Amino acid sequence: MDPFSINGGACVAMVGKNCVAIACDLRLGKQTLTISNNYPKIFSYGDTYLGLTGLATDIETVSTDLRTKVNMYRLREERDIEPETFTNLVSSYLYQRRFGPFYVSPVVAGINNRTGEPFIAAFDCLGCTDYSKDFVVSGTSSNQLFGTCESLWEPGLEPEDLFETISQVLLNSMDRDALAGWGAHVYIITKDQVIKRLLKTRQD
Amino acid sequence: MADRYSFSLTTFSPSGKLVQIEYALAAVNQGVTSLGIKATNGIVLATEKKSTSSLINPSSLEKISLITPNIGMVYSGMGPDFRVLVDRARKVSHTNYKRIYNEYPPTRILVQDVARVMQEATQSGGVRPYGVSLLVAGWDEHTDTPALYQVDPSGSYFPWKATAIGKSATSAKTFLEKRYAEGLELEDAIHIALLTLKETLEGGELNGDTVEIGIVGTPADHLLGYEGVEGKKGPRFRKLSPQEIEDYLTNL
Amino acid sequence: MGGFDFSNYARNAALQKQGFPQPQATSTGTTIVGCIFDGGVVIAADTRATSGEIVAEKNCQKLHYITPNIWCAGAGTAADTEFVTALISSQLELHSLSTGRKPRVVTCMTLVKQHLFRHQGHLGAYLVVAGVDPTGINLFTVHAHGSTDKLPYVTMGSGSLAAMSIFESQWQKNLTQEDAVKLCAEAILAGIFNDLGSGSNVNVGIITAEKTTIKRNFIIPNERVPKEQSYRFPRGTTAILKEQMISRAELRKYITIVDMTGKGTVEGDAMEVDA
Repeated sequence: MDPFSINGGACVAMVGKNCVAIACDLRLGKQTLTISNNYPKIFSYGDTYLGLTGLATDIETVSTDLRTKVNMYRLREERDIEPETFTNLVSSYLYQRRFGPFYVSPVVAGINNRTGEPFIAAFDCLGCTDYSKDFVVSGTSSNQLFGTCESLWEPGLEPEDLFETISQVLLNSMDRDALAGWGAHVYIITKDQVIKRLLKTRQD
Repeated sequence: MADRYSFSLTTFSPSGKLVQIEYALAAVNQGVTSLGIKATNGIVLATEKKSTSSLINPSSLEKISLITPNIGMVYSGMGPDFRVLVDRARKVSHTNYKRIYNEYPPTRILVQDVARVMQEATQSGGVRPYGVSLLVAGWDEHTDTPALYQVDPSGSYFPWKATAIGKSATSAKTFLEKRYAEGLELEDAIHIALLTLKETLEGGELNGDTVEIGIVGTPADHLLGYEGVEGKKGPRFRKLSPQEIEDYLTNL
Repeated sequence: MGGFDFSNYARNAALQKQGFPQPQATSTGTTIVGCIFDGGVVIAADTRATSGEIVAEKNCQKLHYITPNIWCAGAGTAADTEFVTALISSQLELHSLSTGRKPRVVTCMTLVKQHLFRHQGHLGAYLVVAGVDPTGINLFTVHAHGSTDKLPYVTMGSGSLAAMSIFESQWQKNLTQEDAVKLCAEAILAGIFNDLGSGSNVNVGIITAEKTTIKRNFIIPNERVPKEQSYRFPRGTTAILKEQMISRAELRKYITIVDMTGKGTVEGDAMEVDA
């Protein structure tokens, strides 16, 4: 059993027109046994969002470690961390553990405060950053997510259209993954507001 | 061995002063005057380069140093101490910042790091305080504004619009107070910097070899050395060549 | 960096002993090449990153900045090529500032090989180091265990054989810049089309004594055909149980947001958990 597949989970982020979206499932499992249907995998750091899939114990450690680092950054710099900078921080933090990695696959989504540019990125567990202009995926459903994203994503989606696309991408991918599902959170991030939605999904 | 059993040389006098720091400041106040002026679109750092002998090769002397592509530094006081601080500043900008965030530190963060190094020298065993005051000039990408700081041997630091350190700091500052105006442009600031140096002249004449100028301005893309990488800009800090300084002096 | 944190090592080793497989790192399956010409050196790379048989990234940059006059092409474990080149770049920048001289390519190559040898092959970085310095034009390869080669034309990565077949059949002495760029691009194309680990586009870097030019997506031989029709869903397709809104300005005030509240909050029905 792969440590990345013990707890299950899926996460995806997408770029739209002056907006980004990030979505995750809510399942926490212990192999085939489902333990919780309320285990969100998206964490907010100011107005930058981080999705974490993989081994749940490491999701908790990584998310809290990064919370500490981002809070220290905010105190030192007296400003919020930008998504690009946060991405570099996640990357160097993960690479510190090159020879004893965390079993997580992070995804970053946000809008640059200064330029207003949408930004997404994904990492492998060693901290190699995958910069993408369209979409990034992670988790046990990543193969399905790649497929649905490739077919459903299109450039220049407005926030509400992006919501439908990312939701359908996640929903349909999760349905073909026994280890993910049981509810989903979607965040739609625009220049001046964030909308968080809980999706109605199958519970099997 | 030495660090295992050594005492702080900087200890409080009965009146509550740290005389070692005051002596360090005295060393600064004997040093050649340096000044910095912040403009809306940049900063100028200027100092006089005094050589004790005509046999010295003037180009080997450097008093204004680049720390990061957007930050530069000048000093008044002891040259050797400055060199050590320049090395440390360059190093910490990488180890404490660039190797974590893949960006260069903002000016204030770098100033705090350098100030910490200087403060530690006032509270550590077996060392003396640094005998320099620094002027640190930089451009902050996140606010798109210039920043000018002074750091003293005690480790305290102050942001300035315009200031001077060294032997003629007081008279230079009086002069700057008269000349400084809000909304100043970099070209005017360079002009005022040279006028101030002329006013407080300690040694011979001002020319391209006896004046050193560093500026923070628009990105110098021709100094980047490569092209074709999206979003990469050239350094904002650069030293003026003797020829450029001569040109400014003739227009004075 | 350099100081690695091994605190998860024992746990991960224990998991591995129990039969849990080790994590899959993103690798740049990769075709990378370098070639010297009269007046400079060219390096080139494909743009595919893979995770197993999955294409992780279709247009990544494998040409890494070291200094303005020295660049590396990287193959192997993507994280290692990224961080090894970033570390050496940082060290060389500091070295160059303190010596007041342009960095040399041999210095770069030596720093890289010593770093990789120190880690005994555990850092999976395979690099082509290229540059022009005051001593002349230089081209090296460095393998993950620290061995190096100095040759007029080099290839590395899973597509190295395909790429080398181009060099071995077409390379000649005293190439012009134009011919060298063409030859390198041709070698990368051989990798893109004949090696499954390589794909997408050709990135090229040209280094001469005067300047360095990076040409991203120099050739795009695999452009995706735009979709004839749209799969856009009508708004309202997805069923929502709950919705919350918060302004970004408000968001910045908090350190942690457990559950978002604020102006415009719309409370939906509680989540259904009856299934």
